[in-house]
Amino acid sequence: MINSIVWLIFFGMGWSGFMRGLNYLRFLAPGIFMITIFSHSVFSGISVIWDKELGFLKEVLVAPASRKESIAGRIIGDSIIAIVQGIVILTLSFLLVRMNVLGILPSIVFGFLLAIAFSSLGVCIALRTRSMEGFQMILSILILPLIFLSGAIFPIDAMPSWMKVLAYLNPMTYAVDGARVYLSGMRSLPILLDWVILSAVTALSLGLAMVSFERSTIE
Amino acid sequence: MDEAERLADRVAIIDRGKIVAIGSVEELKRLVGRDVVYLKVKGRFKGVEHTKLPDGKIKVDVENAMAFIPKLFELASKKGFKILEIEYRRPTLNDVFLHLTGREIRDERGGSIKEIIARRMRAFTTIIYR
Amino acid sequence: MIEVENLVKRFGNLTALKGISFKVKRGETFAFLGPNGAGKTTTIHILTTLLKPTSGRAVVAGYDVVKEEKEVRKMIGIVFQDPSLDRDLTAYENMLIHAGVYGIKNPRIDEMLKPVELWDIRNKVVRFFSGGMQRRLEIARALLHEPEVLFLDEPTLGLDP
Repeated sequence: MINSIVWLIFFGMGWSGFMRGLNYLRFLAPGIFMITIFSHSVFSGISVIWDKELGFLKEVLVAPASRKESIAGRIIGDSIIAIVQGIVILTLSFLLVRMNVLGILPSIVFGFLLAIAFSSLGVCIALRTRSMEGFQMILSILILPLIFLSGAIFPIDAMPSWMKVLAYLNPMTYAVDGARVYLSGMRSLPILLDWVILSAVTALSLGLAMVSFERSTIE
Repeated sequence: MDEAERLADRVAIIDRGKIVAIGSVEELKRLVGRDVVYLKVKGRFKGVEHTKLPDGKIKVDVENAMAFIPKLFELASKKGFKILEIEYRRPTLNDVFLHLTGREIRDERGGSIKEIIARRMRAFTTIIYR
Repeated sequence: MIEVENLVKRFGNLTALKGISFKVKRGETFAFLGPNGAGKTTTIHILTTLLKPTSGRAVVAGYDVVKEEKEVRKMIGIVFQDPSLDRDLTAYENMLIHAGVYGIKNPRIDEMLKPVELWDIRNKVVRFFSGGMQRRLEIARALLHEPEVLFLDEPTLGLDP
């Protein structure tokens, strides 16, 4: 979250001064909101690794309670924490730049979908990883490209076409675009497309996490 | 290992992914062979096949030491010798494992020398009677 | 109570269990004895539904461990070889979570914690417990849902003398 504040203030305000006439901060703020949520939720899998290393996972796996429900509970819990962090950043953004107040609620819904999607993916990765180091290594490889390829910091329209393809494959792109439409009134994709794709990806990855957890064994 | 001996009605001995023997602790120990009773007596010991050890003790091989010891007292009063000391050794489950696989069970703890000695000591049950 | 038929488990090209069969009757105490890596823990993990066997069949408390794993999980209590407590919670909270995931309405946590002498320190965080205290808490926890079968993997490991 500290990182997000640094991005918003130094990076955002710094570039705003350079790009005279364009309100860069207004472009960036929805992006930073999503980056905050993304970078918290993708680490959701870490609690699974902790439980694995400290043995508590066995207690959960051997219990008659529904495994699907317990992992869904964990993912939703982590997503709520991610959303709260996002809201703090969003509040700060509103102090720095004028945005559409009515856009807050739909943006939070977008953020929540994004959080569930990446918490689920984090859990899937964690279940297939043996150690904390391995998990952190995989994430450190993924995080920066996913951020740069989401349109959060610079617009997708200006990217070379091969990069655009990658950006359109990134689920975060649709969350960033959605929030930007509602908060800043800037768009590059149809808003309906944002809703449909993000919801589909979220449902799919949550389902994948639930099935993976259901089938997981200790080896 | 000790808890297995004390608590288990039946024990399965498992080695390299296979069960090599299964049964009660008594049944498993019978696979190894017999109990050994060591005696120190006053007077002439007779009535049972035995060997005299260099330190003056008497060694008797029996099927079951627990069942033999009461008989020993009857024998003592009949033949007129006095029992000073009884010591008996029963095969341990470790002996059974050794017998079946040719290797020792290493305790999960890895087993420091002190623990190994402690385990050996426990395998020896001693009854002192004067 | 427990019926195991020709259980085989392979991990890659390592065969951990090469066809194990045995039966355990109700009320019987059954022990596995063997060196490290003999297959004791693998067997327990299969019987407690944590691992799937490569082949063979196992029935615990009348339920198949592969096809009816949920039923099996209701019937069994386990004390694992390594601690499986949530170390950031208190003893009492660990018991409460257990009651929750096993669907026990009015858990008799006091009845379980008193005999293992943990009732007085039920509100202490498990992180600060000795190995023996953690072990006793796990045993109390494994018995909380009144299991039909209790599995103990190396039960005395780490117990205070």
